[in-house]
Amino acid sequence: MGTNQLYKGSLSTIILKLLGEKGRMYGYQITQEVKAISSGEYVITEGALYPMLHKLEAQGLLTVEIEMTGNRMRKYYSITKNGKKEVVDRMTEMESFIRNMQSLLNPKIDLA
Amino acid sequence: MTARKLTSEQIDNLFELCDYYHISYYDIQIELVDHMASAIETLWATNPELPFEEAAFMVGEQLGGKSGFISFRETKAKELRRKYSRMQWKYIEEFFQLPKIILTLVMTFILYFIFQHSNDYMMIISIIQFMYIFFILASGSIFIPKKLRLKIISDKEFLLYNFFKNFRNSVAVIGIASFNILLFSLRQIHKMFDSTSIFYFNTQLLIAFMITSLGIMIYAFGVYSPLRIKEDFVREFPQFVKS
Repeated sequence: MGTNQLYKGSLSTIILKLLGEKGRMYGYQITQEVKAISSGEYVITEGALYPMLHKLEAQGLLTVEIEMTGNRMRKYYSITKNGKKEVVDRMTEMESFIRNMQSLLNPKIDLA
Repeated sequence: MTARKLTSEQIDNLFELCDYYHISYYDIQIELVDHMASAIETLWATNPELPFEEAAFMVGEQLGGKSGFISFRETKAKELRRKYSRMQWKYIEEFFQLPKIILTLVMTFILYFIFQHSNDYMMIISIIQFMYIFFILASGSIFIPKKLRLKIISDKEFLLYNFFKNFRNSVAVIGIASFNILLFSLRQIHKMFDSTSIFYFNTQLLIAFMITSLGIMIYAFGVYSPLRIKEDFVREFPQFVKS
């Protein structure tokens, strides 16, 4: 649960990055994919996933298509041009954040 | 052995479950039903004998039960409101920035010149009243052009379609209120000065600008936004649009 809290703030970046790499995906598929990639460490709850997908869609970063799959309709999300730009910016921010966190948590002792 | 899949009847049961949890909008139900169906099929992959009802209950609980479903609907509605409101204000802002500000200024000055040449209280009031009558007729669906109409085939309820209808209703309310405020203010100014030539340079320009701004707002609320919602609806649910 503790680790999930750490991931929570990065949920939108994770979704955008995943859709940027995998192309279009549907909600349940995203939860399963994230679970598999993180070896089950990060489980996205439905209560967090769908509001975030709807928010990103409303911001124009994602677009949706509805298709018939077997005997039911399925809503697919894909990343838009603006979404792709956003991923690049967010990844840069994320890398810088990770570097800073590493420096903060493992400060090198200056022996000089 | 092939993986166990949901039958059409079971899919219908999931739609009924959504109704039971007060999710009546079909556009929201589609996503919830597919999520539940996928989750049930995942459960069946490891436990194919699990009865459908039990699996559906487990998945429904995972989604937070009744409160989870309601919050799903509420957050979706909130995001849609934000989306169209953001689009609309961005559009209105454009009229006060280059290059569209030129159009705003041209409209303002045309009105200003009409006022300056007549400088007649009755003339100004008549122009506004004419616009007001046209607005009431248009918002009462008499003059609505085809491109601003949206009819759906299904008997189902759609959140997005409700947005489309509500927008037009709120435009009517906002518009009627704005026209009345404008007409009331003009009558008050007229009473204060008690003259037919009360509109000096500054007031004439101000009134022209107020009328132009009101026109932009009404266009943004009454035409621009409903058109964007209609576009989204047609793109997402073409099979439910009555041509």
